[in-house]
Amino acid sequence: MKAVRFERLTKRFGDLVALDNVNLEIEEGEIYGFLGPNGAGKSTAINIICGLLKIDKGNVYVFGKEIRRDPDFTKRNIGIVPQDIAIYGDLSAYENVSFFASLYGLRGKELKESVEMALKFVGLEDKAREMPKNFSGGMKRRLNIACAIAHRPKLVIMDEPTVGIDPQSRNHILESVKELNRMGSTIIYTSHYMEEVEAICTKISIIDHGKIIAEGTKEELESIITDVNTVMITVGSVTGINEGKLKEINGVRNIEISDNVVKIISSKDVNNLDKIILYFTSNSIPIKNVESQTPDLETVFLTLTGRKLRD
Amino acid sequence: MRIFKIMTKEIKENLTDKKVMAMMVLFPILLMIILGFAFSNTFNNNFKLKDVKVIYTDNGSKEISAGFKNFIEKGKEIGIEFKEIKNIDQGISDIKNAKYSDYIVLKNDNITTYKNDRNGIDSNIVESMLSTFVDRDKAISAIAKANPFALKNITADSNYNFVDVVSLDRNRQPTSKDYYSVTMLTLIILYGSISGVYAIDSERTKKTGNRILTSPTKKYEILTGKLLGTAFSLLIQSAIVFVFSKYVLGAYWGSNIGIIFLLILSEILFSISIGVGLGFIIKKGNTASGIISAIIPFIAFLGGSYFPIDSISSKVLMQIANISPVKWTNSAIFQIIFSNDYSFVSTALLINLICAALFVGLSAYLFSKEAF
Ligand SMILES: Nc1ncnc2c1ncn2[C@@H]1O[C@H](COP(=O)(O)OP(=O)(O)OP(=O)(O)O)[C@@H](O)[C@H]1O
Ligand SMILES: [Mg+2]
Repeated sequence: MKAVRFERLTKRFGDLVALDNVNLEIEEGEIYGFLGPNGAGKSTAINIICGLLKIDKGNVYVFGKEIRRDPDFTKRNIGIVPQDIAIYGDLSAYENVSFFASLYGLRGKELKESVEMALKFVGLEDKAREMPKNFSGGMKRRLNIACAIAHRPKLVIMDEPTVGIDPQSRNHILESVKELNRMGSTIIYTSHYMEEVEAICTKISIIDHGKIIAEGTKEELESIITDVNTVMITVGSVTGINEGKLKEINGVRNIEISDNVVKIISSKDVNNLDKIILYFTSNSIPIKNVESQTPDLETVFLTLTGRKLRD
Repeated sequence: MRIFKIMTKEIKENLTDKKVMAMMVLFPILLMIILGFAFSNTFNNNFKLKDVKVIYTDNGSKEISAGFKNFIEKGKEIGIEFKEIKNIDQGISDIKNAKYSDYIVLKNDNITTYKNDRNGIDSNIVESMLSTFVDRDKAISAIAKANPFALKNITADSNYNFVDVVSLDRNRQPTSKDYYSVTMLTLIILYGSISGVYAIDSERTKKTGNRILTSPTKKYEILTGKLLGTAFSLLIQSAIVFVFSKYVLGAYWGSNIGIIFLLILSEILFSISIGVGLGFIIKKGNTASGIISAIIPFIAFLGGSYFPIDSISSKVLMQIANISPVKWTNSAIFQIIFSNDYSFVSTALLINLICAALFVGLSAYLFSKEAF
């Protein structure tokens, strides 16, 4: 069965089309990644699934049922980890999880066990009685997750659950996502972080400007771009580089400049390395290193959208 | 059951918030103590006036003299000292020197009073009392303008309600402690409306409101839970303040606590509903609570929360005071405690409950339209 299905889903905010006629299917059991830059429409899609936003056009099915027909069924089966941490700073970690779980009808012993399970799952069992207002960012993020899973939803939706946290907490979260999946939950996972999506997602769709522009496994997506070459040129300083001029070079499709590395994506069938290097030398920009890169999702993204994932 | 969960969550949040508890419990208790002591002279001795000395010269007609004798008798009962003098110039100079509060001169059918600003309140009381015993129009027909710099006149439209005080005198009188125990309690309940605002706004700022909405919880369950939870919290806070005033301060609350409880409860519902309503109408909690904090002093002043306005104020102000909902609650409570009079109860209850119903309805409507 499909865990989630979008049928020609459209959502507007005034003139802005946040989701544009989107068709999508997510199989039960996947860890499904939404990858896209700021404002792509990831959160909009998620907020529609969980009923916070109204659908303008199209249909959304969760486990086979149209969400507006049976909102209760949908809500019962979804656990949402919102992009913005949504917890009560003045209630203990335990009380937080227990409150939200109780809204799903859990009571008594079952409630207690579920809360303990959820806290243990995110590694906060020692902090159960403490107030989240004193927690670190990572601990708050973990509690944010615990509040979404205590009622054991079949579909867990995580909207950028790792923003702004330390690597240790991040690894913990990524591991727990995989563990949740092993325990039987379908996961939707959105992120700006390519590495995360690459590491855990079984299927990925790349979203930009409210459209899905590519979908598939990591390997499938990377094969889309076997027709390009990526060159990474490390320079002394990137000041003085004119992106426009570089793009004029025959075969160059996209350019990404970060720190002192210039990433240039060109069509495979054009041999332009000499011209690229000439540009740098003729503009007196000293080259420290030139390296060709194997395709990764970051490159896929840049190729398809002409945009970087993060600004 | 979900309603109950949301309600208990609300109560937990409210009652464990030290800042809120300080504001809602310590603050009114402190004010009761401070105001109770500061104004104990104004309120004490069952309205017996201290050191109010009046001089008079009686050259009046038969009727007016008779009315004036009446006045002297009543005045003595509440502690005013009277002294008759013959020389009018002597009297006026005594007033200039503030030796006495008032100088009353009866001549034929006219009464003229002289007073010194330094004894403002005392002479107000004397004059208002005088005006109830003597035909008022006659009393004020002659106005003294002996010394514009030190003397002030009774103005033609001044209306003092001393009659009420005199009639109340037969019953027990509120001391300042009794008075402020009632008005500080009802005042802090007004401020409780701010908890109503934040019951809504905090879900917005903490983003937890959306999390609740993604659960199978219905909006009416959220709204009901929130209203009951904040109302119950305010009830607990009020109960602490009440118990303190009664058992620690020893304020007199009369013998019919049951009806007073109903009035307090209706005021709690009134405040919370308005707060919750404003929480929905104004999407910024700080703005909403700012508006509330700006309006309350005004409503509270008219309601007599800071001092009893009916003993010193004009007819116009007293009429304006009727728009203050807390005036009705305060009056109803005072009437029960000190006059065993229940005539204000139904009006006060109706005002509180109708306002509450309106704002609950409005909240429900706005909440049904959109999320928090
Ligand atoms: N409530 C709203 N009202 C108006 N515009 C909105 C609203 N919510 C989102 N948008 C707009 O819709 C577009 C998609 O936003 P969305 O939050 O879905 O992006 P996103 O992919 O989640 O981005 P991010 O990675 O920054 O979270 C953006 O341009 C955003 O400004
Ligand atoms: Mg988002």
